[in-house]
Amino acid sequence: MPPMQTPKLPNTGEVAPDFELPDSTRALRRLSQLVLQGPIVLVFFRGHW
Amino acid sequence: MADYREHYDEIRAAGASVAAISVDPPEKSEAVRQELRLPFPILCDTERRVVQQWDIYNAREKGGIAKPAVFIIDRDRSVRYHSIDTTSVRVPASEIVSILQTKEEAPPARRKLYFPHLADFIRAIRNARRFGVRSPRA
Repeated sequence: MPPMQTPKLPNTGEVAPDFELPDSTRALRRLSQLVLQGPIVLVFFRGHW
Repeated sequence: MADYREHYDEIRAAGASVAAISVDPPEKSEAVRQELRLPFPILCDTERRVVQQWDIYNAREKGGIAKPAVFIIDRDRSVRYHSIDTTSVRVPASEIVSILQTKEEAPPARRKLYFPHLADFIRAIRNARRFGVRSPRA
């Protein structure tokens, strides 16, 4: 596990911390790559119910 | 999530895309994606790294899950908008669409400037062919 940074909500106008996560097909997606095509709407949700 | 599926085309038309994030592992996320027929990816923050770093972690439920939250992240990775919700209700996708439309309309404005002129030009030629050339005052 990488070291945990201090939790901090990225506020309006601030640069969001980059991250890389697998999608549901296990393909790695990096935020800084996703935004190259245009703005991205990130929808955080509870997950499986 | 279904709300964002329903507005996906409008979000795409506004030049943006969508990614969902939960703490579910890929298999569960893929099941959710297929069940809800989501046209966008679900990212899997299984280690809860992003939700904790972004401070949208709800540790009290289901072994720690993401709070319902929506961000609009621009090309330079700056946060244009965020909405953090404490209940399971999130900001309606229609509101996200209108935000995307208002700010993204600025760059294509120049293109918009040209096409109406082109349309006027074509209309003028068509009218001239149908009715002959007349002075505007006629």
